Amino acid sequence: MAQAFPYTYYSCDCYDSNTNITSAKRASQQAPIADDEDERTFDPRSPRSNYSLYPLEHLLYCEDCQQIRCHRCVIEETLAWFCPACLFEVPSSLIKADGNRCIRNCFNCPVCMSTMMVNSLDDPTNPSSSGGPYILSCPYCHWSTHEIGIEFEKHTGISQQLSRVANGGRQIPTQKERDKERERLKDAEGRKKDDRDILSGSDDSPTRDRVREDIPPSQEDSFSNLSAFYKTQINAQSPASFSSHDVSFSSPASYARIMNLYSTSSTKKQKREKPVPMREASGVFEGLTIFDPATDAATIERIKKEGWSTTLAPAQKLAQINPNIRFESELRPIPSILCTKRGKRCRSCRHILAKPEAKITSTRYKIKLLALNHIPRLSLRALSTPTSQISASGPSASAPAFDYNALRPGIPTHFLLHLSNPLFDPVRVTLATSSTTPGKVQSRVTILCPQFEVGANTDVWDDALQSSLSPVKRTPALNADGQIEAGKIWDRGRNWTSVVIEVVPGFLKPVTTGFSLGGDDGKKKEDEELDEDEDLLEIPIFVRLEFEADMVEQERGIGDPKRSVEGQREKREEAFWAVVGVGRVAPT
Amino acid sequence: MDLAQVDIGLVEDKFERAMREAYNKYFLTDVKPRRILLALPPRMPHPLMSSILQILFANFQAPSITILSSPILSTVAAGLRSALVVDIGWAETIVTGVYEYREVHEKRTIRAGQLLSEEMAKLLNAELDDEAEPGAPKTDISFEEADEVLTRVGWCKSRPKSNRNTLYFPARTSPILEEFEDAVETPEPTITIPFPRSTPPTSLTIPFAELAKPADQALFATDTALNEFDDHELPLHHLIYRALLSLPMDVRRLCMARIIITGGVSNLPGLKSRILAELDALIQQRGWDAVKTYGSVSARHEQRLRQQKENLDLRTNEGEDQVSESLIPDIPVPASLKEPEQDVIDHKLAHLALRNGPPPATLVGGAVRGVETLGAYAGASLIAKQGIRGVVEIGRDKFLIYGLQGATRDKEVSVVAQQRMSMGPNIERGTAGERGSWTLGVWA
Repeated sequence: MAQAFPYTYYSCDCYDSNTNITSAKRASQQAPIADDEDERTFDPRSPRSNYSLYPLEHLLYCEDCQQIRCHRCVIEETLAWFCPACLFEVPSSLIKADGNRCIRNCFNCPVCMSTMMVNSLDDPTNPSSSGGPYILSCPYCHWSTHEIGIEFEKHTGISQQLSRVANGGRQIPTQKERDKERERLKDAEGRKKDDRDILSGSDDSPTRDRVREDIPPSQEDSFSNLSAFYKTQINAQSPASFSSHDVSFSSPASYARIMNLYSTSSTKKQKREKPVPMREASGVFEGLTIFDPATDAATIERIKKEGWSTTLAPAQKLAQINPNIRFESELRPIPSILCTKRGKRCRSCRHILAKPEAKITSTRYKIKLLALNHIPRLSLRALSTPTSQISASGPSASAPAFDYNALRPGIPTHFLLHLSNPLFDPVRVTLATSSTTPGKVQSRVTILCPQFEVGANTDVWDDALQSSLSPVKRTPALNADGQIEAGKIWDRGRNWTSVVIEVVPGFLKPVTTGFSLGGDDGKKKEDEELDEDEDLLEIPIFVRLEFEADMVEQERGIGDPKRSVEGQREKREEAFWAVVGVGRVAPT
Repeated sequence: MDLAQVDIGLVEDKFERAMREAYNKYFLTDVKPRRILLALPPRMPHPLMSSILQILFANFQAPSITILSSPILSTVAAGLRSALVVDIGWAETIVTGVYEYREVHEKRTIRAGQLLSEEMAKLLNAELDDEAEPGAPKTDISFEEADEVLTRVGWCKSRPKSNRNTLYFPARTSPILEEFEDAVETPEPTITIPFPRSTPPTSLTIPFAELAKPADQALFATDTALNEFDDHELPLHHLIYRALLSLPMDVRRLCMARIIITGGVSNLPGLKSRILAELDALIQQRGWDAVKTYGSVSARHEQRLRQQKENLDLRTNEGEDQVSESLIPDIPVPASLKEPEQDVIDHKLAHLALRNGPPPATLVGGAVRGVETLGAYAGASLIAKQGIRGVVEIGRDKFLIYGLQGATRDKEVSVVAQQRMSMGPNIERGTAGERGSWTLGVWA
């Protein structure tokens, strides 16, 4: 969690409800959930809470379910695809055919991942008619396709040109040509089989094929070869009548089958033929690649000679379309991956929660139900001067800026918890927290005023007008001794209220002198080893809201006639866990 | 797999996040939910399977999920029906014998990626400590650094150690090999590895030969005697040898000529050749004899074998001389070493079979041979492309109601009943109809 202190995360409880359903089903070895789900306090340190805490800005709110919705409890549906480099919208039919990459001129540098540009290699003294040849080059690291021996004739349709050229300028046959070649080889093989004396003549494979084979087939080659091989094998396997396409009665094959079924038994018997089992691939053109130790040896030699710098870093390798490469000379420009615009729906009621505008360049939304507009915002800050001066034990606050990264252990520090209400109705808030924070460093936390009201989010001018009529109490809740009085709010405004939280940060090392807290040595030793982020002070706070709101239109319609009076108000409740990150406890 | 210490809920969270990223960033599928084909190892624990399925069904709206076993998919992606699949993964290496698209045998060892990575880290730490001035804190390089070194410049000696050559091969050939092996190149080739992340950034120059040691150490454990290994940590070549040994003879014949080495570590240059060479040497030395030592009679046993072999050599050598045949009286040759009699009818039948049957290349067997595979996932793509449906196919609605308990107990859906010849028992070609019940097949 790399946000600056203090921060607030909201918990979406979708995983709890999720596990409840599944755990019932999961018969075997689910750890018995000992305590009731509702009773359990939220632990921001449990590894799972990483996956359920979000900043308020990331959350959506489903008005029908009246619940917070996080990334996990929405269904996303793709509305449009576009290339982030050229902002060209790609229709969904093209996605199916050409995959998830831009098929125009957009490429990323395979070395540094920045967007590449098409540059001309034209000689100014002797310009060619087309302005070419062209190369793709990276404006940041100056890598260019020149280094892998690829130049283009035209400056458009780069990806098509690139797909036809292998590194080093060798032409790659297209899919069609490859298919044709495969057929040719197969025919040749077949003829040879008929001609020769089969038992003896297995050695004299044609030299012409050998020449081709010294380049090992690429992965795509093998894949298409295998795919074609399996297709022919399966077609040869299944009798025509069983191909899954023509199950309709009109096709001659199934007609024959039905006739066969209902005709006399004599013909049925003789038809049953023992099917030949599918065979294995027998050669390169069928996708069989025999392992060759020579390639291994060559790779080792090359590493030995050329060293570290010619090999690829893992990130570069994984960004490639074919990640099974090792050397810089095998790099290819990466077509940029497409981005999508996605709408979000609530998983349980299927209502749309967010829907962006269809235009690619627009960043606006048609529908956007943010939790921001439905859930009060909690924020925390250190309470400055007056208290710390009075309490006299807070030298940390005497510094002009409060250092959240070094909380003084053992010294009570006051923080202001600020709640602002986005709703148009006043809200009664009840806060709860456990008296000590979970984890090894136990800090004591007291919310001095756990129950209070927050005003409605009315028009800004209302505030200005009302303030003269009924002055809001702005005197700090200090009692005669200058102590903060418990049970009173600190300050309030039009739609916000702030209360004081007292925190006594725990000690990073168990206190051995001073207080004798008990506890044997073994336990202390265990405590001394702090995990990463164990000094982080995070306070889980359970927030419960009560308010009266206008009824949702739907409910008004369905509800009984008594309640369907216009302007009927209903009582609503909402509750969730939030985690407030206060800071880091300083080592003593 | 030990799941006692694993928080399944956390696994679910992580899996869900990974899948969401994969969907949103790379798959870019359209609104229509897609069928999912999962490649899982055949020994997947049920709780894991259940949670994976749950997330795919519930969060990603898959209408149905087909599960196929990964060694079989590797076999498919190599274009074979039978193979010995050596999957060198992260936590363990799994050797699976596949015969006619069916797993027949499985052995595993912990000598795999994790151990290799640790060895490499150890090596680099030691080298860096040597470089650093004394008194400096011990270096502890991160996993990423060790992994990067391993994938970039790590390699594996492609021949077994020379002293073992002398052990394996007849005396005639070994000295040459040995000299060739031990010839030290001058100057010794080195590799310079930068470590930009350490403070201050350093670079390490290390002899090239050193970089092959972790693989030697982790995967082949060259320094340790065989009797010191526990069952779960056999070196790779011994594991493969044992797996082959425990296969039935016919299956072994096919499998040893179709050794598929796959998994992430298998990309280490030289590793495949090394495994095959070691295996070949083991077979030459031991034959297919499950008994490793015959105790006190072992000398005699070896002697007898050698004599047999020499006799055979003698005979074949002499066979080339025309004269000797009539002169030397019949030495009784053991039946196993006799040339089988030629039968005219057999010859004709074989001829016919070759003409009509599959090409001879598919019948190769009996010698160690490696075959490249495209990997289990490519195999799954191949199968999906042909519209083949697996035996284990789980429908969304049924799973969401019953969970894994909804599976029938039958391990296999009968293929014959559907009047359809298929690619094998694990993979069948289906029509569009829905099945009434579903099974977990080998995963049950």
